[in-house]
Amino acid sequence: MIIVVPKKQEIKGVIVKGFKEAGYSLVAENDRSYTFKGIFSLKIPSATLGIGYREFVSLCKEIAVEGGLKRRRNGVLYVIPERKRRLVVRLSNDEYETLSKVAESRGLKPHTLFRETLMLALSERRGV
Amino acid sequence: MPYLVKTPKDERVNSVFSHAFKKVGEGEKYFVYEGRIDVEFPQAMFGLSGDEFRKLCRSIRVEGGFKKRIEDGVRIAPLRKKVLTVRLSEDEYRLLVEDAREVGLEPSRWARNLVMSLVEQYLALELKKKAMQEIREVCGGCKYWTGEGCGNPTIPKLYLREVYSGRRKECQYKVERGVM
Repeated sequence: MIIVVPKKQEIKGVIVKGFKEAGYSLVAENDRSYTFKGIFSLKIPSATLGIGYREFVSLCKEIAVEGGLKRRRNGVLYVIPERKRRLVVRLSNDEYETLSKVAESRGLKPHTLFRETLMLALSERRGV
Repeated sequence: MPYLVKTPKDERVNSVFSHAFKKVGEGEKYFVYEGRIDVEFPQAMFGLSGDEFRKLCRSIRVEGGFKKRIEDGVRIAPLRKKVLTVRLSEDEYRLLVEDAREVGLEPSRWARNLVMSLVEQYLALELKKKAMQEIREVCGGCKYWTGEGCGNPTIPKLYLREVYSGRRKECQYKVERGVM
């Protein structure tokens, strides 16, 4: 997934640091924008950028995503990769019950919890 | 649902199986164990010859699960009838495949191992949190409550266990803080 973020003075330091911490690498930079490349989905709250709501909304409009989609919900921007692959996992009744119980307590569906946990485990193994 | 493993009564088999399974039954000629997760036993663990091991594998009966001969041993696992489909991006899938290749497993099996071990931890944490909340309801405000447990050494252990397990909703030894 490639994300192009406009260069703005007020978020300059935070953006590069934040993307690097999320496992993204800076692949290109010019006068107007940064281009990051990475694998995992992102959740960017406006509070972490230290800018006002209106500025955040306009920033979200300017961000371009290739190979994924962006969605803003109030003060949070979600960047999600396009998911076209299907992974089929077989579970025993016990395992499915455990997964459902934890997913329910977090307000998620079992497959969403499975994917989020898998990505967390893989990113940890990669040291992100 | 746990699966049941029936094996011939042999001390060498018992010494290996009792570490991985819970023994739930015993007959004149067999032991019955209960298992929940995948277990792999290398042949060397049993100290049996090739023929003896083959014979043992043939005689093992698994109910609610299955046994499978692997390269140098036997694998016993529960039946997995629930199918979960997870959508991944190309990059996410590639990452999983590479990681699975490193450990020598199929991507779906590696994904299940990774996720289920973490989910079990999440569940244990949630249960602990819930239990602590219940204990706090009983012990909150007591002068012996240390924040992590009861600090009253005179309470019988059995009584305390009942409070901790949530079977007792009130503690007769409770002394309100500030009351002498």
